[in-house]
Parts: sequence; C-alpha cells; structure tokens
Amino acid sequence: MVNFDRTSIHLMTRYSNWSEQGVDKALKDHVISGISAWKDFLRILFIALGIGFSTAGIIFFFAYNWADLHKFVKIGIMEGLVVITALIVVLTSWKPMVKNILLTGTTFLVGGMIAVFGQIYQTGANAYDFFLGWTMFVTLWVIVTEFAPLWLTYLVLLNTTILLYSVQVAHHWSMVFICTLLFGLNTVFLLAFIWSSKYKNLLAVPSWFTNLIALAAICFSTIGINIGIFEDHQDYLWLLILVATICYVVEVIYGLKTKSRFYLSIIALSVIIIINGLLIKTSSREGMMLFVTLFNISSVTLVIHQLIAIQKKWDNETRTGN
Amino acid sequence: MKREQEIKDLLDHLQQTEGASFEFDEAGILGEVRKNESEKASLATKVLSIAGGFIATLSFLGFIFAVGFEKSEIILLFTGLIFIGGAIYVNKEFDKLILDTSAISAYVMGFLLLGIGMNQFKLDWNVICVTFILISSATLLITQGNILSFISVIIISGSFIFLIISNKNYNLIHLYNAFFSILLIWSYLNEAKIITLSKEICKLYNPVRTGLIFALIIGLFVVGKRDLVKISADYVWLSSIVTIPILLYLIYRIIQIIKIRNQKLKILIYSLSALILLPTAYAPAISGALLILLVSFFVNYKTGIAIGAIATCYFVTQYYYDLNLTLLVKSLILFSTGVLFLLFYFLTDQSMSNEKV
Repeated sequence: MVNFDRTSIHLMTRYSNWSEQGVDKALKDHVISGISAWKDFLRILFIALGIGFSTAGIIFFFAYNWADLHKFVKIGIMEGLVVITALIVVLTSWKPMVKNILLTGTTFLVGGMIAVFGQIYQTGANAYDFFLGWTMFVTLWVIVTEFAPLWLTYLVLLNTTILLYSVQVAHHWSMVFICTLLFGLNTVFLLAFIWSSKYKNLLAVPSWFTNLIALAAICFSTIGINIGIFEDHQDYLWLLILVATICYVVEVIYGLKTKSRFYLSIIALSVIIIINGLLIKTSSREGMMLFVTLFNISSVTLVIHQLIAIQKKWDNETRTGN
Repeated sequence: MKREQEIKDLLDHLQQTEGASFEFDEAGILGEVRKNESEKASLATKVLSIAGGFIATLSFLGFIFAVGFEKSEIILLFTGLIFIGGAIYVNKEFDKLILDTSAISAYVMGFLLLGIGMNQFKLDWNVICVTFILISSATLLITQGNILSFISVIIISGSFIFLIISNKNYNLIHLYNAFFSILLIWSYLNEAKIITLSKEICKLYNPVRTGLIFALIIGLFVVGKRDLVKISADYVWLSSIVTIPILLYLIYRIIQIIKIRNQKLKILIYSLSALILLPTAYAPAISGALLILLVSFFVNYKTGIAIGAIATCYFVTQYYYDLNLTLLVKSLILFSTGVLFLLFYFLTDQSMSNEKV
C-alpha cells in the first residue's frame, strides 16, 4: 500500500514528467480532505458557531438596558439558562464534543450573568471582581471537563483578573512583579498539564495548548526581565531571573527529552532578546547597534544550526531504536 | 534511509500506474530527500529564522539612525541593492536552512535601506512602491527559496496596499481583495495543474500559498477594521461581490465531496447558506476569512486552517463591536445566526446518519 503525502508528491513532480491528471488523482486520493474529514469538520464548525453565536446573542440581549424588566426577572432568566445548559451537559447522553462546546458556551453565560448583576448593582463592568467572580464560579467545570478551549478560556480569565487587579487595586505592584506573577502562574499551569498528561496519563492535552501556555509564560518573563534591565530599583528582578533561569533549564531538559524543538526555539529566542536588552542598556551608540545586529544574526543562525544537529541525532536514535 | 525506501516504493508504484511514458530523475529526487533529511524544516525553525531576521533588522535600523546614514542617500541605495542582491545570491546558490536568517535579514534590511534612500532622494512613494514590487517579483523569478519567496509575496502585497492608501484611492482595496481572493482560490483548487507546469513553479507553490493567505488577510483587515482607512461605507459590500460567490462555489464543491444527492436538501443548504452570507455583505472581512478557512480545509492545509479560524473569530468580533446598532438588535442578529448554525448542525447530523443506514 503506497502512501503519498504532499511533500513527496511535490518532490516527484519536480523531477519527473508525471502527468497533471496523475498528480491530481494522487492529491485527491491521498491529500485533500475526504468525505469523513469533511463530516467531522462541518459538525464541529456548525456546533461551535451555533453555540458561539447564540451565547453572544443572549449576553448582548441582557447587556441591553432593559428598563422595564425587573431585576429578579433579568437575573432569573440568566441563571435559568445557566442551570438548564448545565443540566443538559450532566443529564443527556449527547456526544462529548457537543457537551464540551455547550459547557464552554455556558461558561460565557456565567460571565454574562455576573455582568447583569454588575449592571443592576452598579459594580462597574470592567472591575477586576467581575472577572474574579467569573473565574471562581466556572473553576469546577474547567476541572471536570477535558476540553482545551475551555481551559484556554479559563487561563485567559485568570490572567485578566490578575492584570486588572494590578491596575485597579494594587497600584504599588511594579511591572516586574506583575510579570513575575503571571510568569509563575502560567508556568505552574504548564507544569500541571504536562505532569497530568505525560506522566500520569490523566488527561489528553493537545500540544498546541501546552505550547500556547509556554509561549505566554515566556513572553511574560522576557518582557519582565527587559523592563527590569531598563528601569532601576527593581526589587523582584532577581526573583524573576532566578525563577526564569530554573524554568528555562527545566524546559530545555524537557524539550530535549521529549524531542520537542518548540521549547528549545522559544527559550533560545527569549534569551537572545534578553541579551539584546543587556547590550543596548550598556550603550546605544552606533558601534553597539551594529554589534547587536551581527549578534542577532549569528546567534539565531547558531541556534538553528544546533537544532538541526539535534534533530539529526534524534533521527539516528529512532533509527537505531528501530 | 526509511524515507528513501518510501520514496523508492512510491516511484515503483508510479511507474506501474503511469505506464511506459513515465520518466523521472531518481538521483535528483533522492538527492533532495537526503538534503531534507539532514535539515528537516519545522515550523519552529522557520518562525525562529523570521523572528531572528526581524530583530536583526530592527537593531540595524537603530544603527543606521545612530550613525546618521539616513542622510547619505547614495550609500543607502547602494548598500540596499547589495544587501538584496547578496540575499538572493546566497539563497539561490546555497539554499540552506542555517543561512535563512542571514538571507532574510539582508533581504529585509536591503528593502529598508532602499526605501529610506529613495525617500531621501525625494522620490514619490508611488515610485518606491512600484520599485519594491518589481524587485520582489524579480526575486520570485530568480530564486525559489522557501522563506524569501514568502517575504517577497508579502512585500508585493504590502506595496499594493501602500499604493492604494497613499494615493487615497481607498475603494481600490476592493479590487485588491477581489484579485487576491480569486488568485487564492484558483491556486488552491488547481494545485496539480500549477505544480506540473515547471520545476520552479512547483518550488514556489508552498511559500506563495502561505503568502497569499497573509496578503488576503491584510486586505481584509483594511476593510474589516472600521476607521483604519476612510473607505466610503456605501461601497464596503464591493469586496463581497467576489467573496460570497466564491464561498457558494466552495459549498457546491463540498456538497459534491460529501455526496449529498437529495435535491431538496441541496436547495435547503444553498438557501440557508445565502441567508447566513447575505447579511455579511457589509462585512466582507467575515466572508473572506471563512473563505480562507474552508478552502484551506478543502486542500488539507493545516496552517491555513488555523489562520482562517483565528481570522474568522477576529473579524466577526470586530464587526459586531463596530456595528452601530443597539445591543438589542445586535443580540437578535447574533442569536438568529446561532440558531441557523445549530440548524445546520442538526441537518448535517441527520443527513449523515441517514446515509449510514
């Protein structure tokens, strides 16, 4: 049984007189989406769009300032919807994917509910406690549901809560401290997800999701350290550097062990950007800028060179392993 | 070695199916397999080389201004051209993954220097943009390296957008969107025809495919984000004249693939699709993003699917955010759209389980 992929079809087309019809047939048979792929795709697309739009519609409906509607009715309807959708998820035997998407929609309804509450009692719509309440009330669902988009929603809520708290309440927090906190938070979640999926087999965590958290965490550490470099008197800078160094080392080891080039690449890029900051801090004259340019090109080239070498080594290992 | 064996098997298979007239250059194929084997390009390394090129270009810009080179136009023009030429040469002669960062940096810096230099000469922006378009097109003809071709497509489309905006001919953006939507859909659906044209065109196919998505997204962003440029609101629907029929054509192709033969069901699907698409006539960005999503899934192109999905979410949100209606009307539109999609869901679910029986 032959198995074409796009790369090999392209490759053979370049070095042969393979006819257009032949290539077309190979692409149709082996590459482009067939009937079953389309069915799955359309199902997920329609249910996600359907629940997404309906939820948005409901939230907008209640965000409209209904003068005539009594506050108990307003909150009552919202709560009723949350209860009904949650019961559907618990009691029916619908497909798990449909239930997951429905529960994600319900998560947004909880946000709408708290917004209606805030509207009635004038707590303000972007106050951090709105997000705090929202985050708290959906925590249980997030824990029991194995659905990455819902986890992602939850992490966005959590990060937003902390950011808003730092802006609206904790005025004395420095940027470096906020970055340290967010870096730590996302790293803890990353470790928890990796631990529970890779080492305990409790959850099936898609790699795009862990990659996204890792990227978020590393963005915070990179930004935090660079702010620390350019602003004096930063109490938490050393803490951030310490934690970041430990995490980077752990992630590099993990990346090497699991043969993931993603972690190695983003950590290398983060370190390069931090060194850029250090260099420019010492001098921003023309000689230094030229040096920084050359440093960037050569360091990235070196990293890619290393990555290729590592990949070769991995390939050899799997081959001898076979 | 495993890969080589795989390719050999495929060639044997082809020789049987294609008949005696099938000729191939086995040494060439295996040579490339070995090369790819030694430097497997993952998305991570590609993004890394682009990011590296980007920060290097930024610091280089700092250098130019720190020295005060921005005032000596001759040096700028000269070094700009040397950088571009050098990048093309390195890419053409060596085409190695580890040289990508240098080639990208030199290429983008070259354009930057050329642009600043020509601007110092008090040349018109139109001249600069046209020069950029010509040089990037020439690059595509000369070298077919992966990332350099991708960047060339981005520079070409970016220059077109800049031409439209700097000349204040904002409504021409619809022509741009129409052009890139048609080009995108044509090139995606005619992959076999295009890659069998010539070896060079086949090599260009992948980077240009990615480039076209970004080119279209830039154009959609210009019409999708209100007040970004002053497009007259009365003509926003112009882009939709192209995107909506293309989407309907795609739906026609999808119906063929999933083998729906029931005439009534077909009519129902077309009318419901039209019902969903018509209100987006004033939001061409939404139908454009949907087009990217569907056509990428059609040809099974993962990066395109991800970009299309994110773009669809973004443009839908942006549209409702900008919409000048009361929240009540907005909520009714959103809710009814949601119900329509749910209807679609149950329809697909039903028709598919019926077929199984």
